[in-house]
Amino acid sequence: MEASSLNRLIEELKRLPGIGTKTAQRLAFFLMKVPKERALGLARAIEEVKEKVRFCRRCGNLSENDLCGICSDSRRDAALICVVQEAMDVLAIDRMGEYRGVFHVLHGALSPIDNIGPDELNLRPLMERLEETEVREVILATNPTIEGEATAMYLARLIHAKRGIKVSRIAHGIPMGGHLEYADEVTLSKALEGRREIQ
Amino acid sequence: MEIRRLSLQHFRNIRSCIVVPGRGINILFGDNGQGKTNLLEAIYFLSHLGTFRPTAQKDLVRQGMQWGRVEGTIEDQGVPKDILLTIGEKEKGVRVNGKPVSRGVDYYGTFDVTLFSPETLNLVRGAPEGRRRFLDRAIYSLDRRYLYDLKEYRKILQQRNVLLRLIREGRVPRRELTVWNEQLVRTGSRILQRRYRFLKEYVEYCTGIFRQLVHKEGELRILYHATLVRKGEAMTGGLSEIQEKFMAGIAAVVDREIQGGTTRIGPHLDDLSFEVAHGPAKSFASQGESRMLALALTLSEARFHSEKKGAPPVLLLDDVASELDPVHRQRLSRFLCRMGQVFLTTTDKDLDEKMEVSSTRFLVERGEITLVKNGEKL
Ligand SMILES: Nc1ncnc2c1ncn2[C@@H]1O[C@H](COP(=O)(O)OP(=O)(O)OP(=O)(O)O)[C@@H](O)[C@H]1O
Ligand SMILES: [Mg+2]
Ligand SMILES: [Zn+2]
Repeated sequence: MEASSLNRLIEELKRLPGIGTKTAQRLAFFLMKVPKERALGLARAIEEVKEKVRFCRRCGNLSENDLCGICSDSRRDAALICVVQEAMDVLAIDRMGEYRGVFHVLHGALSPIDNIGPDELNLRPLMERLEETEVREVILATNPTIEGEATAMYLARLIHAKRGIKVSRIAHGIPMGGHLEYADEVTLSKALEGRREIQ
Repeated sequence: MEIRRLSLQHFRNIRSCIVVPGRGINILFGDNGQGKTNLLEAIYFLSHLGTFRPTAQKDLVRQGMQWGRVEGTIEDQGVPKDILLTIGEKEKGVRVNGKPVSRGVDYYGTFDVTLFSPETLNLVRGAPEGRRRFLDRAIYSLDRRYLYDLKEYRKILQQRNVLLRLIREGRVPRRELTVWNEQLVRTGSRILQRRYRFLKEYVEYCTGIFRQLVHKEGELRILYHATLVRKGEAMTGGLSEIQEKFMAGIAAVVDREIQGGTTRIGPHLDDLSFEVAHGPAKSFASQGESRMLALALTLSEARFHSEKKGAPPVLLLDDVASELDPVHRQRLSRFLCRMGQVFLTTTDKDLDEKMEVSSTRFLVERGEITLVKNGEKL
């Protein structure tokens, strides 16, 4: 009896990305041992996030309001849009503290194998933004994988077809494929190729 | 590069041995099934962390044992390196100078060998995959970016092939192919450009070595058959030219690609052919000539490699001298004397006399390896 609720917790934890059976067991036993308040604090935090956090209407970023903190910040340069694959990437770029423009989150990248085509991406709102607001430049910061590259190419064409907005692709410090195993030569030769405006 | 000392434990049929090879030619002789190829395989393993035979990693461990060890002291242009490989049921450990190396890619290039085995014969007569693999390996052993491009290209192909099928089933509009065509062309053209560039230089080495080994005034031509070039059409090998032809080629076959659900042109389908005086070696060369040609191609790769890297790789020649007539054997030995360290296997205990070379000789008998000098075991 007592074990079945514990088992359920373990099974739930195992569904989280990057967590296998061993880790799930360790976490579950840890939660069992800590004071009730702390464990419930975690449960409540999860609940709150699920109730409050949604996607920003404009850019697709995570937000507690209709518009996210970045979209509603008037000091941000709304004419400069950085397009990323995931909301996580917004955090990563913003943490550097140098970027003053706004974002657009696609929630994925083109990948026929995974059945992800243009319709599965958060694209239409981006095209609407380009129609409705004055946009000077779009920076394509999709991942340096073949899927991210394909997505960047696709977007570049789409945007160019619409109007003369400058489109650029970020130069990658990490090698294509995102795997660090390919040593410096690859990075170097990629970096030299990078920094290009997409025509 | 050179092996100064090799020590094996529980590797194949070798229980335990320490071999101190000579700097030049080393001859491993013994009857069939005694462990000669196993010893070469151990050296190959030290370089590639894998084997050239179609067998599972765990089969490398001596039967009935839990683990095996291959340990080598390599000298690379005067600098010694200690390499230790352990093979277990599941795991493989790699240490260089006592430090563990966790990823194969980081190890790559630590110790270079070039192998000629009876399977290399398929290079001339066998299926195109073998020739593509030979070509690709020769290029990426000097250029890691090429290996990386090959891997990317394979992923692009997979995506594109799935998309072709989705289009055939009417589930996806055809215009979605555009970006995948561009990706294919971008990466594929880079691969092609490297291949053309490599072959241009490589063929010079081959012709020279072919003349030394096979035929004094012999002509050897290596032709690259690109699926995106039509018969009789010229190709200079410039990047933008390749890209243009690639794009045009796709446009010409895309309907059939969609029907068939696979990519029909690109470096993954290309082939090489070797032409001697009379025509394609595939149809004209005799058994012995094919063998010499394959050998010349392999030795050329080693020579090319050594020019680029500044030191020759260790040559492993499995069973190469059998079937060679005295004239060709002589030529081979004259050539080998000018390479670096060489390991030759043979069942012929008098091979050294027949080749007229000074060599270090080892008798291989039931997995035991013994140095032999002046006919006496030491
Ligand atoms: N894991 C293993 N444990 C024990 N013995 C093995 C193992 N793997 C292979 N062998 C044995 O090693 C022997 C083959 O050795 P090898 O292929 O080196 O022969 P060889 O000397 O090259 O012979 P040939 O002249 O016929 O090519 C075989 O008898 C085989 O059974
Ligand atoms: Mg053998
Ligand atoms: Zn927003």
